[in-house]
Amino acid sequence: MGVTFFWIFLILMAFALPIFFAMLLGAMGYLVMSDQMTFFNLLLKRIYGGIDNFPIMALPFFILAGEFMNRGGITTSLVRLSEVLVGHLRGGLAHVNVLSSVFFAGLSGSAVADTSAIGSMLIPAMEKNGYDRRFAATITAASSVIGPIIPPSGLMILYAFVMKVPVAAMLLGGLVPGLLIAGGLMIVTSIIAKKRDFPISGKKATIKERAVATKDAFWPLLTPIILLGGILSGIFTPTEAAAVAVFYAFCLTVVRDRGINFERLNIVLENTAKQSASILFLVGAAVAFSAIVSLSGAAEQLAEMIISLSDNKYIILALVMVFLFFIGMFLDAGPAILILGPILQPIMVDIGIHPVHFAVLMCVNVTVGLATPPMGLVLFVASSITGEKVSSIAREIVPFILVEFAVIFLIAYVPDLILGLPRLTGLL
Amino acid sequence: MKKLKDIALALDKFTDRVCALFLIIGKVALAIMTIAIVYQVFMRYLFRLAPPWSEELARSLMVWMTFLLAPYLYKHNLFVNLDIILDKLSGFWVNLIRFTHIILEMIVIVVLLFLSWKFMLNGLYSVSASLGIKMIYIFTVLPIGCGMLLLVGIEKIIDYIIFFSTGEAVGTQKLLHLSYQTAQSTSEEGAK
Repeated sequence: MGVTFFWIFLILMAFALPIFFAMLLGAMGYLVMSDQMTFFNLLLKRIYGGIDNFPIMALPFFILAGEFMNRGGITTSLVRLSEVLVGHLRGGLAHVNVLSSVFFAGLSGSAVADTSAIGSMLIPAMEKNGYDRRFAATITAASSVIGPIIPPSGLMILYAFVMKVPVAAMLLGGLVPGLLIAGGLMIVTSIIAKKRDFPISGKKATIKERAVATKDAFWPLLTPIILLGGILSGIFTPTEAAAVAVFYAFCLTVVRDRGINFERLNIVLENTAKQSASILFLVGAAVAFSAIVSLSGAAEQLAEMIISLSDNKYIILALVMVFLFFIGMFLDAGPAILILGPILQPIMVDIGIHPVHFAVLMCVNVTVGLATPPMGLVLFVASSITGEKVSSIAREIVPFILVEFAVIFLIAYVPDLILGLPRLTGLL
Repeated sequence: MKKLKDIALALDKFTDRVCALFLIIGKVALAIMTIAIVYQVFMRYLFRLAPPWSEELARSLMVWMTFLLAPYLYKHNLFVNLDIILDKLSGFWVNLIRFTHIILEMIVIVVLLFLSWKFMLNGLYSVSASLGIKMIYIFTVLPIGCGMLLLVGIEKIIDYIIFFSTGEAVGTQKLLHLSYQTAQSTSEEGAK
């Protein structure tokens, strides 16, 4: 009976019952079947405890900061900076697209925001410069996954909160994998650019042009430095850092770009409130669900099943990575973390994987899943911006996904790529 | 059937208004909780004087925002789900599965309403550590949110009965068909 409730949950979820209800029904099913109905009270207490929590407050704050950033002219200055740095290469605008995602990742930490903000600006420009629309949509979708990997990252905060992993170490641990993915994407872009004879947009920017673009992007680029610097030096907690990010983004948007009025502020607050409430309910249900997972001993049973597959930790790690990649094709990143994190994390720690190493690995893996067909969220966003069919973007994105998957394996087997920076800075 | 339709329309109007009101309160709560934490950071690092109430106020407002938005999310089908199998099925099966969803959701909602009522009453005897108010004022939002979820659930059931017997989409059914049509037109535009 230990894992029966898990199957109930999976079946209900597969048949489109909202995950919040599916988790609670699975949990209630277990308590009824095991005649432990006195624990029903625990469910609501856990949901409440999951929401009434200071660390998780960073999530709505980061969503709010991202909403502010999207409204102002911040994206324009980041794209301009990327343009003067790599725009002169063959396939320059495609490289600009990737580099803009790296800069944007330091501000927002959301793949969807990245696709819509950078895509709506760069895709038309790429088309005008002779790129086909399908490729433009593809590179936008593929590079947007860098958003939740390079800090700040809403996804990592979510993981750190639910699985009690040090959040600052996780955030810093995402920096190298994010840069590796960006590098990998730029290599694939260069190969494709050469093969398809993509245009060179213009001549190399002068030092003066670079200086002007850097000056223009200076204040937005300061955001990740303030955030990470503040967290790492212990000046503020991640939640406080997120609140400061909101304040900073608000000031930039109002003072620098004059990009907000009461009507827009209203939309920003409404979007944030809806997104936050939706994810907070999931968090609450996941906390309740994981309490039932530990009560039922299901985690141990699943762990035994997984460990029985092999006694080699590297093989198990590879199997789990492939499994997560497969799950990422169907499930959004947040729910994937909330559902599978509490089950997989103890197993991986048991076989000797460092919790922060696995935490970042899992976040990177399910984030790449955002760009994999058939249910990749950013594919749908890129499709709605360009009007290209999801299936045609899905075919074009294969080489980019392969390189992202290669990076996942690289960081899985070279733990220092994740753990090195947190160790160097004394966070681990 | 006409009487049932009148009830459905009245219920739709009522839940719409309450959801709109709750959304406004939710937005205000979000704004205040952000200001409270920014204020906390500035006070602590500029004046070395951290207000004791800011964190608890912000947490309570986050709870209020979340539970007040529950009926809106439920009515507009914004709770996260996985549509991949449902998208492959025909209209009859989709309607049947969606109706089954509502019944299952109602089971959860009724249990949560019952539990949240008890939870709220516990707040009568405890006082918040730094705000100095009875916890019942914070917990009250739980039965309010769950109660409204129940009302939206009843509305959804009535709307389904009308849809099954007359084929007419009212209230939440209209919202469901609208979101389905939007999804369809997006994918058709994509195909073009």
